[in-house]
Amino acid sequence: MAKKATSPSSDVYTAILALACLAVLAAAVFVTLTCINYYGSDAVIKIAQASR
Amino acid sequence: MSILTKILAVLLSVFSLLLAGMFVVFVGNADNYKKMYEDQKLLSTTLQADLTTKDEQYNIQVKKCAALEQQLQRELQSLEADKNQYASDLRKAERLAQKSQADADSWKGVMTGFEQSVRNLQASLSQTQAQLDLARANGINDQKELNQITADLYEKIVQLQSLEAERRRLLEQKKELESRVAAGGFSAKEVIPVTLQQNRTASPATTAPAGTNIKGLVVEVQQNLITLSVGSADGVKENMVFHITRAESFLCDVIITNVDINQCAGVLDLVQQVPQVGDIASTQL
Repeated sequence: MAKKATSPSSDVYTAILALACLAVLAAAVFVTLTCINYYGSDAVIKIAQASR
Repeated sequence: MSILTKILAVLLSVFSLLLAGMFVVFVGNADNYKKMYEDQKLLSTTLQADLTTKDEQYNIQVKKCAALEQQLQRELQSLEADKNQYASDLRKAERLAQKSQADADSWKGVMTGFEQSVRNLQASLSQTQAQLDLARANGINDQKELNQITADLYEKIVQLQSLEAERRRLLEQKKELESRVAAGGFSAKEVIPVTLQQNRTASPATTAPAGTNIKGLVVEVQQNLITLSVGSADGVKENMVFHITRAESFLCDVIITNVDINQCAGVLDLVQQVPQVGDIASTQL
């Protein structure tokens, strides 16, 4: 099979997806830090244990 | 990539961004319940400690109140006893007061009776006094009349004595004349007419001895009789002459006919003015 050439439009979508991932990652980090700040580092483990 | 994949990628990105934003907003606005819990727990602990302290204080106060209540109960009992005692004393005093009031009423009735009887006695006494005064007045009038009669009697006796003396004198003269006639030595010319003396006392009035001045007061004045306040104790004698004066003016003479121990009576003579009770009588002017 021949290697597909990259195009600028695929970079845009990559950027969009990367941006979205970064945003989700930032949100997750923010939430985690807030949880740790409010309830301590044990709270994250307890949440994980409680979800089970 | 196909168009659908692109579209899905874009949609995924958009909704991921949207969801992430919503999560961030939700978490940012969420409360720190742990901090709130700890704060509330601390507050609860503090309040619990306060409650414990308050409970202890409450118990102490309850004990104090119980002790105070007991003390007040004892005082109340003692006051009740005192009140009962005072009530019994009051009843006794009321009974005594009623009894005293009854005694007072009875004594009041007795005193009213006594007062009435005293009034009656006073009225009878006044009547008796009036009767006594009347009797005394009558007695004085009778005494005056008696004195007057006695004075008149004495005067009459004196007159009688003088007349008797005159009669004796005349008898003696008669005898003398008869003897002379019998002797035959007298004629009718020598017969001397004899005239009786007027109604005067036979013996001449005597005055007080020289140097003695008997003074007295006129006690009683009647028609022709005067009573003086001096008597035989002061040296008064019968036929003594007293001069009655008033304020250095001569009123009349009194010839003593009756002498008593403390008083004397006599007849008026040389009356210039009628004497009154209280006028001065003396033997010398």
